[in-house]
Amino acid sequence: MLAAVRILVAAVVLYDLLSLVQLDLVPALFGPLEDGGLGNPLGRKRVPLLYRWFAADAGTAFAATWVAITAAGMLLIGAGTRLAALVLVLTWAQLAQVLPPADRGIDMLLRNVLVVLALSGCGKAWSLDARLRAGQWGGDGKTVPAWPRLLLVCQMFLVYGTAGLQKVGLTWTPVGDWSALYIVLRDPTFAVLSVDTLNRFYWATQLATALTWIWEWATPLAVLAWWYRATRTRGGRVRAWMNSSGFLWKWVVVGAAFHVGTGLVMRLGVFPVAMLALYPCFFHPDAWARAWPRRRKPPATG
Amino acid sequence: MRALLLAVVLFFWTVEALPLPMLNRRHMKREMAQEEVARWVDILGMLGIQTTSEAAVDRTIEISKRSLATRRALIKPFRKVERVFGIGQAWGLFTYADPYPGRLVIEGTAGGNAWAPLYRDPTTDGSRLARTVRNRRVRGIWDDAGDRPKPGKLYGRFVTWIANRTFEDHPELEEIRVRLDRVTVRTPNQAPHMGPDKPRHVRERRRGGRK
Repeated sequence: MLAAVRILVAAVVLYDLLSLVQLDLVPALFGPLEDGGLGNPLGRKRVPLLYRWFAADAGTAFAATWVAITAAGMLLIGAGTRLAALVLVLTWAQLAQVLPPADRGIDMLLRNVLVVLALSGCGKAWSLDARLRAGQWGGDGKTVPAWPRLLLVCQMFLVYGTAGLQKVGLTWTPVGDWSALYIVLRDPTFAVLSVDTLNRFYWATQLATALTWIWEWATPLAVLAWWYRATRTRGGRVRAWMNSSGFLWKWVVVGAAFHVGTGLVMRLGVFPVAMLALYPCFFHPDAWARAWPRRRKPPATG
Repeated sequence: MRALLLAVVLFFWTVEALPLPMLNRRHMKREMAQEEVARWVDILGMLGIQTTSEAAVDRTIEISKRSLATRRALIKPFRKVERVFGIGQAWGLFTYADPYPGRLVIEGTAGGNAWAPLYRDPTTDGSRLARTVRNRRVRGIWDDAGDRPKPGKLYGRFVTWIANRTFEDHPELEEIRVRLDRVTVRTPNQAPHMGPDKPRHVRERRRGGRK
């Protein structure tokens, strides 16, 4: 599952960085003010190391961007996986400091994930590293420590749990007519649907607002369900009910549907896809093994 | 040892992710915030807690300052590591739905007062200009820098930059005008808003120099 997260996250980052190059946005977003940049990193109290160690010009911005792109590509194919993840996160962190408003929450979240991936065994399967070491893309079949995946699950719970707690605006509640999503969908910055469509389906936006709010507030229950799933052999009626009802999987499916939905009806950039890229961490490797039985090479015979 | 390290990381993550209010006077002066405060004063009144908007704002800012100072002190040891890796837990997913969002409008003229629309959020013609301003990172710049009563230097820089890019693509244009109109969103259950968007943060740039 960590390998799946690695491949998907690297693909998202690679696409995102290449789109900046394609639109010729690198000097503006990552260059210093003195050389066509919109940010003023040299005027800040803490000048980013990138511009302390190297020339403060657009050339450095380009070089750093291409280092990040190369690292993302290597992470995607699993070549020097740990080093690639480390180089990517360190370079990206420097670029992020050049113009903070251009660095969004999802960028920070993906960097959190990259740090965990750099410390994990995510390159031991579905990677060039695995192919070179074990002779198979799928690796040698040995298990890797589970803590990175569990840490990613904790990160996801934190994202959704705090997102719910932060939604104190009254439009997320019945007092505000459950109108939050309608208002957000009308925001020209994010809008995709016409006003007529939104007015006709106002009830649907209210329902979606309520569902989103309840789903995010249900995160502590998902944490509990996760714990009950890990301790399923113990007794207790609540534990038994949560495990038999599949509460956790329903919560995960609703979350995935939420991102697919927002990806379709809002302009959010890579956010929905990047969040979905992290969803494999919810699945135990055994679940994958059950879904896709491994085809092993027959042992060589003399 | 590993378990201890993971516990420490989770502690810092959780403290940093705690949804504490990060509000100041400038935030509370926004129309959306004032409407929200007025509603909260009503709700508290119904619960038997009598207060005024001014007192509620003062109290909120005071709590905000104290809680943030406490968090800053708690996560200080972790901040250096966070800075190196660009990591953290500070984000909000549509905490407040803003009923007064901004609409980016870019216009150009070959001279005189005949301004032609080049881009108007959210419509797109697939042009380089549209793809540029809709890029999530670029959007972060004009949306953050412009979503305030008085946009700062960054907004001015953005206008100059986007104007220069547009001049490259449109050699016939002599002037570019950028603005972030204030839109009023009313739900179907509310009285409809009458009138056009309110022009805001209007900036013009002339080819070959600032205006």
